[in-house]
Amino acid sequence: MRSFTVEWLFSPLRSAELNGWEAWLNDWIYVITVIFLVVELVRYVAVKRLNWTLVGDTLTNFVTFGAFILVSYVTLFALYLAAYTYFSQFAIWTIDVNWATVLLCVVAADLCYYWEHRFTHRVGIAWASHTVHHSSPNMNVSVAYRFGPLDGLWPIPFHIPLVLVGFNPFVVFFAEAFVQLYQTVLHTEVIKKLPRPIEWLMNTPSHHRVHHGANREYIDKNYSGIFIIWDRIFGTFAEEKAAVQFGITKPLNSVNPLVVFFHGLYRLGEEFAKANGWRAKWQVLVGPPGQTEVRSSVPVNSRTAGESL
Amino acid sequence: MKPVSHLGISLIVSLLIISGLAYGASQLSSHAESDSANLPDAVGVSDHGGDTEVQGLEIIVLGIRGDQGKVVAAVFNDKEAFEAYDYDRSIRYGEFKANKAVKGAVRLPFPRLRSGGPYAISLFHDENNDDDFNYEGDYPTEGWGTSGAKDMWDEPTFEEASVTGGRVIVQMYYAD
Repeated sequence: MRSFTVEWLFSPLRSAELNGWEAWLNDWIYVITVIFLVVELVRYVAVKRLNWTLVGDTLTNFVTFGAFILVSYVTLFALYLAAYTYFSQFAIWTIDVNWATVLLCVVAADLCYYWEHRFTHRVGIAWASHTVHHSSPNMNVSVAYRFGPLDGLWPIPFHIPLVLVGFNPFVVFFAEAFVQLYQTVLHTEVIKKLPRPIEWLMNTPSHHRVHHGANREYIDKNYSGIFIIWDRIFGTFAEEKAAVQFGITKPLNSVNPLVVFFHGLYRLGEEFAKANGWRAKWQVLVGPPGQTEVRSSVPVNSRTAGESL
Repeated sequence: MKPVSHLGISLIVSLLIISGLAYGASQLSSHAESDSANLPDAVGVSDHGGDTEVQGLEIIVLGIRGDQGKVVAAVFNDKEAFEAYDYDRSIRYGEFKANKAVKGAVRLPFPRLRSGGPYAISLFHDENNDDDFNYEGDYPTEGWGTSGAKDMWDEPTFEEASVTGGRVIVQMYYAD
């Protein structure tokens, strides 16, 4: 049995085969999503929370996902592979493609994702897009499909290092997609807490609810994708204690997909116009979000400012 | 354990972790491809040469799909012919039926081909038996394989595809 496992782990793997697995996984996540969504809607009915705003919000999540797909799949897919393949010529090590190395690549990609995610929360221009994902006041699996216009762009620079150390560009692409797919099922209120060792090691629905919280103590916490340990190591972890208030500190109060999809860029534009002088404008783009609001003394409506990134 | 909260140190720690994982991965090499001695030989591939000083060329073709049509294989020692897919100007040419026996892996032995080369190998799976490699728009509708190709869409030049002899593994790709 053991030798079979080892045999399988180290048997050569074709990148085309891996892409097939990714497509397979993607399809099944869709199926699971629909099942989850039905469960969640039934639960909303049971606890008497189902209303038209919620239904509208759920639909909006899928519409933003559709718009996101339109933007990214058409233009970015080619860009990903082009960028990764281009940089692979500078790779410092040669890494074979087999499940063992794919597994290591997933762990490394998870760490890259941690930084990408932290970046999208702490840099104005990136937050302008990622805020879309966070702007839902609810937490169900459809929120996982709520994306902003630029969300497909940030993974590229953050994952190029993986190609540079020698991982196959297609494997990096797979690993990155896997880290994303894993998180889909974390968007739920149905699962409370999992056994302690799992909660210690893995990102779980509980940890991810915290990440979606607008509560002061939950803001900019739990960035991790698959393994929550990155947050524990880098001091951005928070345990789910108080009930989570989902959404952003300056609520949208809209289920209009267009408003939802572009509100981040719109708000960034507003702040950019308001900012005094080029230094301040630059700060709006690259600094942590919500600073001008803090300065104009509306702290309740802002995200925490302070230390950068 | 106290978390690392300094941004710069956090980033350095991350780069070290990633380098560690990648170095580890670089040590985990795949098992050698299946033992060629156990592979079936392609029927109909003849080694018609008459070179005296030989060490031979052995092509292992992986991933032939299904059992329709035939697989066409050619070995080139000419850059122009290779890059023009001019199979008539190949130094070795062979066709064999795609069937269950060759599905996983098949061996094309050319023991009388003089070692040294350079040789570039090109194959395609002529599923509809029309002696042509078919496309639909830009996408090939039949399988193909080239020595030295890193992945499906890699089109190696003659230099990149060249081998000097011995055992060469060629992976077949199908776009649909």
